[in-house]
Amino acid sequence: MPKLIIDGLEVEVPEGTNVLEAAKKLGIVIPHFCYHSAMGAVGACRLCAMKFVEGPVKGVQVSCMIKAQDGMVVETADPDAMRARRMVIEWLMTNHPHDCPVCDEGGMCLLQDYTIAGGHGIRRYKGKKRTYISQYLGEFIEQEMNRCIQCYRCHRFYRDYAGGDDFGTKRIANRTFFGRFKDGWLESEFAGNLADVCPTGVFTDKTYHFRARAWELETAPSVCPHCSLGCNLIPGAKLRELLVIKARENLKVNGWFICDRGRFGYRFASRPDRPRKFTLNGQEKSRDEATKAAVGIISDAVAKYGPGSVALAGSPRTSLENNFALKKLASLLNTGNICFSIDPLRDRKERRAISLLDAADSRSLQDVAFSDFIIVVGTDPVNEAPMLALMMRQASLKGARTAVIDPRPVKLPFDFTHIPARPEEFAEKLTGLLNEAAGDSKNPLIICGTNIPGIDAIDACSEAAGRLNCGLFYTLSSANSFGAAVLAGEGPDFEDILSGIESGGIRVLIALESDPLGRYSGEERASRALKKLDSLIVMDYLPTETVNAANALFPTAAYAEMDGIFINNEGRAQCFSRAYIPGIPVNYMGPKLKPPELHPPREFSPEVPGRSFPAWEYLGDIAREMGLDCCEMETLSAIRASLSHDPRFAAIAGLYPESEGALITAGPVDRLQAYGPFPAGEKPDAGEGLKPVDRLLLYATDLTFGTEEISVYSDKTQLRAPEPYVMINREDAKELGLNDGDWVKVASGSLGISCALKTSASCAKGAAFAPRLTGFDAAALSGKTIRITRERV
Amino acid sequence: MSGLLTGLFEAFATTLREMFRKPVTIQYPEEKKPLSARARWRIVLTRDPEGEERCVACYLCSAVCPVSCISMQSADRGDGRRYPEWFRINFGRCILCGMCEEACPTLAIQLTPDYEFCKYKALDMVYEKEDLLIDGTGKDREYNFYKHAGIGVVNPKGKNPDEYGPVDIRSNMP
Repeated sequence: MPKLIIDGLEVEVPEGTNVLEAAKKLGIVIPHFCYHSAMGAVGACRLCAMKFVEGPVKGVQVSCMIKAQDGMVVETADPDAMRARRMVIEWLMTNHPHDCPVCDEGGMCLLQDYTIAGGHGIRRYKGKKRTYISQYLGEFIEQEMNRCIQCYRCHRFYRDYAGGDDFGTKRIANRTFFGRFKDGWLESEFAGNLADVCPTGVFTDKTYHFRARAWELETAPSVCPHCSLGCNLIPGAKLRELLVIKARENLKVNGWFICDRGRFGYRFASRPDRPRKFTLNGQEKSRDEATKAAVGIISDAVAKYGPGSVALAGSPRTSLENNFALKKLASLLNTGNICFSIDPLRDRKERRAISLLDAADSRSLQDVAFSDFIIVVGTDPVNEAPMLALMMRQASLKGARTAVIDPRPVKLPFDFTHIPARPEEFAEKLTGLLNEAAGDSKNPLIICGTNIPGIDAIDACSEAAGRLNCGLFYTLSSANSFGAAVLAGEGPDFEDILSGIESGGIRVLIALESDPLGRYSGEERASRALKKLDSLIVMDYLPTETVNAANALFPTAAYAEMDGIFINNEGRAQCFSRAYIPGIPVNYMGPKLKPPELHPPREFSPEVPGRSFPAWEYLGDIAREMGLDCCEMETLSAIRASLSHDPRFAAIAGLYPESEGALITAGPVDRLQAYGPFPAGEKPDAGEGLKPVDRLLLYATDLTFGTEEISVYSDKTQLRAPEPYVMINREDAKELGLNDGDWVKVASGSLGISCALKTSASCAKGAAFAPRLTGFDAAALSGKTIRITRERV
Repeated sequence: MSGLLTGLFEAFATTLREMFRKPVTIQYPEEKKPLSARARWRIVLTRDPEGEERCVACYLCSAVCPVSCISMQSADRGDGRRYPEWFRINFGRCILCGMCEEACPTLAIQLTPDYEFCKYKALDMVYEKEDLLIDGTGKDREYNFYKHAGIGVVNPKGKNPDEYGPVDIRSNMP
């Protein structure tokens, strides 16, 4: 641990820390562009000069390139160092255009800040400036190459940190260019981070193009709702419109970066068709009227058919508090019909998975980067939990080996071994691999999915992790799947509720931010069943099919519009705060005058038009209106206090925004032992007598873009959603007489879908995969044996 | 006693003298006082010499405004040109300090010598872009921001007078 003196203050830093970082530790920030904590130092910008007075090196030096050593005495404000910095920034500015007023980075630009901090104010260079033709890089990232100062951060992030290979550096010296070989979408799922790492306006967020300035954004520390990893975000909104997402640093979870689904999936919040009105059978009502109507519906059902006639469906995508309030309402109503997921199979697997995690084997997302042997069982990181792939790449760069046991042709941004195996073979392959790993790795990790693997594989992973003392990491479906599964405990699942509705026992369903009509894997069954209900009460912020079918509708607040807690896949509870008050965005309200002039209305009112509230407020209203004892759901702090009485949730008592989060462990859930890999009654028929290719088993899969429940309502991420397809092994296809690109019919019993066929040599034999795209009912066929036949058009 | 009397007569004398002087009061609004050359009152948005809106909706005027009376929404006009979708100044709040004019990097927002814009209703003091935008260039007849910005909106990239032609990224020749 070297000790050095910077500006007269002594500081001790770990071996290998550079002087710039050591100064930062003392709170002395010296302007720098190329150095980034995640990507290290390259000394490209020459800006972080300091004067080394005593010690092994002397004179004005670039501090990011010098490791801290004992006996160093460094002056940051020495006139020589200041002069060097002033000259360097003036030189970096010679070719910089004069376009700050029309640059999206303006107001949050490191170059602006450091130019002033470096002491350069008035331009002396009168010569001509260098120019570039910028490239079209897709609808996520905008490039304006003239602004470049050649710090190489983009190259180092894209190629080295994220493992992309379609972007890089061209030419040399003063003509260095960063871009693709030719125009086109950046292929990496992490390309959006270029907007964050670029210290100036070369790469900016195209979805935020010309919409606002940093200083007018309403922001708050938040947590990503788009997958189970719980990456930290800063949403920015202006005039009630969510406009931009930036990554927030959390060194236990996502580090410094986020994926493009998290960054560009935000546009669901300001959709024009988002539900904004309280309605009763299609008629607009006030909040009070809607509450009274809901109370009427519930009390009628309770009076006529007993409390068991009311069912409640929570959701893994809403906050822990909302789900808890729903559970509280269920217990006040004395009904046991409550579930927290509308995917029964996944629900069971997730409840099982979280019950197996304990503090000893659970690993954080950052821990993944420090593993030296990673076994992935039945999950496709880039598609199911994108940031996991980025962390696995960091482990791989440190020398870790990775093996993926998955029937799909998995793609990862680094070298790994792919073992194509069907889910029933997972446990066996895992044992084989572990025998190999147990010998020489110190920090092995097992990553297991909950979509394709069965309960047996989930158990096998946990058992192996316990036996070999290695880490365990389950990927779940949604941001709060862990919390929802803990609350669900040993309670019923949506299958039970659906049978209750079909048998006529359940007459009223309260759907809290869940979409049984659009997302249940047998849509026809759900819509037939839901028609039998007397009433459907829906609380949601997305324009889902269930919202359209609702008898009573309560528009709720989305994640950036309320305070709440998400529990991520490792059991880390994280707070998110309200960034802005939800309501109809001001820019959507104005009378459109003669185009292109339009302006917001000129009438003012103290009320926020179209204001929505967090769902727990509505649930509290309903309980109060019914005369139930609702003191535990009155306020957010009351809900949290009540939650933390449960010993499993005790850790949330000390939780605060911008903390690293608090770990929750679920404890065993015994009833789930009974479930096999397939729901009862849907076990695929053995298909004796048929050739293996005539009874392929279909799995509905997730993709980075186009399948996740919330981001499918974002127009920009939908641009990267592929056309529907079904994928099978190339040899299976040959046996069926089909070729890649054929238009085929995929059928099982009476169900059938038509789509294009994709074939792959690295796909497991006997299995077929179809993405859960909107408008493509792959989920209905999931877990069923199918026949694929060519369809002539 | 004598002091009192002098005071009384001095006052009468002053009144008598002023009665025959030329009055300083002018009969506004029939009669108007010439304004000083630097008088700054009602704000306008000007156009560049080519007749396009000068405002690029950079938000500097609204940021610098000490009374927060300027608001706008920036947008892309479709050809890469940044412009205000709407632009609103609440003159009921404006203190005519001129800081917006000083902050404006494109010389779009300018203060004019027109000070006569009282209204009966407060809401009528809220001016929209249609009310603010004038047809002329205002104080500077030559300036066009996009010709100096270094981005290709008015002239193609590398074709402005203070620029070299674009770098050929497919060659390594110096």
